[in-house]
Amino acid sequence: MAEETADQMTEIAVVGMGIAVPGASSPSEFWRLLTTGRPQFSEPSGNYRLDSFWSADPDAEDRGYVRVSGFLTGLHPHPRLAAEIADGLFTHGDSEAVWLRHCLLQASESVTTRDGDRGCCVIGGTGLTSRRLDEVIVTETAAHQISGRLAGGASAVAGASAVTGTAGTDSVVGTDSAAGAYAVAGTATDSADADGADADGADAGRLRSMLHGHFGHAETPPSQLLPDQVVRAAINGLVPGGCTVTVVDTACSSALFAIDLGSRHLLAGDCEIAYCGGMSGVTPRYNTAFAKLGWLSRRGRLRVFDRLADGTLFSEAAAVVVLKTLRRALADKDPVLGLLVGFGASSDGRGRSVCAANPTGQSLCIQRAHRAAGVDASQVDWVVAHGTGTAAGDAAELAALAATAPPTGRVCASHKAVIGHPGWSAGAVSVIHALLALGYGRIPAHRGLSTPVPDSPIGTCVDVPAQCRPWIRQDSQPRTVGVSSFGFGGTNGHLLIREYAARRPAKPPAPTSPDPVVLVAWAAHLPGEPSRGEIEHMLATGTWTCPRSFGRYESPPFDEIRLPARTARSTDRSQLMALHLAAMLVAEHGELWSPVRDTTGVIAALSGPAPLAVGNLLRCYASELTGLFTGADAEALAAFLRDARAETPPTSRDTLPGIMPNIMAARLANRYDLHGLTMLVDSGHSSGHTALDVAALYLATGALDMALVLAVNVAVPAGLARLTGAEPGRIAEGAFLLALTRCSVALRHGWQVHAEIPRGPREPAGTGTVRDPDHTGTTFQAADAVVSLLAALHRNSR
Amino acid sequence: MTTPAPVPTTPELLEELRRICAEAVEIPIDKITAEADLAADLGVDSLTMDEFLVLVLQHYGMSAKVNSIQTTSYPTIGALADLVQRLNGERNGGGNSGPDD
Repeated sequence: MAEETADQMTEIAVVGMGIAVPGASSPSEFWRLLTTGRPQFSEPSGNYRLDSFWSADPDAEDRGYVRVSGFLTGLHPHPRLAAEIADGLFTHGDSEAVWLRHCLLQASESVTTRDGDRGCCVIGGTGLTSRRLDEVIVTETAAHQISGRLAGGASAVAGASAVTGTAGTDSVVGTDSAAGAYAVAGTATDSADADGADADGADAGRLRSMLHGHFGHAETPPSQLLPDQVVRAAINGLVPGGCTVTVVDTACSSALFAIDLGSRHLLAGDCEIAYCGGMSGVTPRYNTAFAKLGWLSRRGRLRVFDRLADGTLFSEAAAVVVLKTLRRALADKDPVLGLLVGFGASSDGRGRSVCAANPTGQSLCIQRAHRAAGVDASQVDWVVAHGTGTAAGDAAELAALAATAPPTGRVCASHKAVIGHPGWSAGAVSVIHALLALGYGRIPAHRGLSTPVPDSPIGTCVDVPAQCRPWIRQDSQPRTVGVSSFGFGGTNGHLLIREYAARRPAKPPAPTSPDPVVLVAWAAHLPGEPSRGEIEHMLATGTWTCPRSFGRYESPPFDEIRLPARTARSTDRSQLMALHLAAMLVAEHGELWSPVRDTTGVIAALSGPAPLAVGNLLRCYASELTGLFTGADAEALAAFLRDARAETPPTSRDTLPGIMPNIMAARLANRYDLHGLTMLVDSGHSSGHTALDVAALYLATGALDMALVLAVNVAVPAGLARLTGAEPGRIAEGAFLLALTRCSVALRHGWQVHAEIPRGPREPAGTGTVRDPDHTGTTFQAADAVVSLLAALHRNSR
Repeated sequence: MTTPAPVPTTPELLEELRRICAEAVEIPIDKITAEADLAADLGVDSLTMDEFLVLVLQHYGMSAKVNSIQTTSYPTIGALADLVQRLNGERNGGGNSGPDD
């Protein structure tokens, strides 16, 4: 079992770190902030016009009640980046790319690179927290829709919801309009019409320039704002050639999972240097949707573990650590800031709703980290807690800390009361907090706690330092610290970091016996519900005869999704497709994973914005847009907003779980009670390949016994063709699920092996842009690699 | 204020609670058995659970009790029916709950 062969990570060294958080532009500034404890929250400035998005009334439609967040307006860019900005290579408007590049420059200063080194870059992130991406989506959609209405063309008649035909039949432009929110043209020629008209009533260009002016953007090609492209821009010229790029999304634990994934690539020999971390922004829509959950601080003050804690506050932030094997770090004479000695991951599984924090799941990941490192609880000196300031989240975390504490109690501290919640970069910020404490030999005081929550374990088995404490080595044991990071959707991670004791011999990596990764089951969910035989035929011939779009996506039956109808209406089709697909697999094979539920995980691939997220974004920006137009433009806008509102439910507590991409994977864990890690990977068009690679890596290292690879493609919402760079006429909707395991596990449980899945060769860096996956020109985008794999299987078997 | 509904016998109470739940939470009524765990089996989030509990207590004129009750202690319709009967019994001055069972 994976539990017994838990992987040893004693060989991974952190050799560099860089950080950008509100109030600190470097690790030393962050340390100063941790020791002074001054909170860094402010009202937004610039393009984030609070009046358009804020209301004191928590029930105000599509508005949020929080006024303050943490902002990086005071960032002092690394000197080289400052010069690049002066030269116009980057602008301050490139926010996430600038923050990440700043961190990478800082983190690389102490790192030796040799000729021929291979790198991997694994960054926690999402398009959902990029203000600029949101503004560009709003700009593109509004320009498209308003100009369409002004021109009185098909797209105007069709409204925001044109499904302009289906493949396999003659395309019916416009008349299908009420059917759904997505423009999917039938054939390339049709799409040229539909999209050409689309893209561009004569007014589109004028409207676009005007909106770009309003938001203060240069007209960057929109596709460059997708998360994997942002990372590629940030690392350009700073990393070895051929460096692979993976964006990891497990919500607020993303950066910790990114660090673990980078470590695994190093241990597998995939590369010599891993650049890992996270980036996260603050957006009006995210603040609105999070407020509807009631999880943002009404007082605008972040307290953690405190009686008065009433929610969290998000911050703009980025953080990067550079990793090498210890052997290589020592040979290069790089500073060893700490060793990564064990990681534990878990999913909450069944039990509560998909976004409720769960102490059982959190305890499980902490125990798994201890096991992976070969330590017991008493050998861990303290924990950098996730500690976000939400009542439910903090209570769950304290319960998990208490449950996993040694008899002497558990010391823990969080920094979020000072810098806010760094979202998708939180795990890396916490790792740097831990590394700084190791370096300075002190545990900084926890801020934001005066009176603990009643009945909390604080004061009994959990000890939260109110003063800075010295951190000295006990009994000549190397000092060890745990870092917790928990994400929306029940994606829990815990990483153990130990100081490097120079005389300790480095442990060689555990030899891995050849136990190939194999495919034991698969299912495909395609428009028109083709039979298994038809799907196999299409895979084998490469000719896709089913429709390219689902049109309006009907919610699957209750038993498949187990969601109240209200929740289902606010849940993006990508998630509903995933749940239906899993039900298809179960109908054919039963719950294959039942003997290995605890070590079954889900690795998902999806790229581009979720359609429902776009609809919700338009609702949230309605007030901002309404003030900008006059005359015929204003009338066209009003008509468009009316349609958009009719199509997408108002922002509610179901919105965020319904549109967050990583929840697609978490839904399966929640529905089928799986307790291995769930993760979404986004490397643009090669996401499917990355998901297969990541799944194979977690299987090979024993962290998972079964990996469900979920690859989903949904159509581009109307007007957003420029966002993906793919021609709308070639894009096909579909969802694919593969059950992968190790050969030995398949034999043990009597699962039929369909094929062996060799690891690598790894996708070359490339640009993540569209390439033609097969001769028909049909593309399932993020799912293409999975489709290619299945196609090869069926071509061979014919 | 509408007049609170009387608390019926156990089988009818269960039916009534299932009906209220199906309508308020938008779940097919045949899935709402007395034993189904509303959160784990039916995907009901904790805030919706709170709202449903408030609705039920209002229905039977027991709103005054709302702050003393932990929703998580009543994960099923069956458990909720027991709660309503216990509160009804306390209200009627006896320790005994429903007339049946």
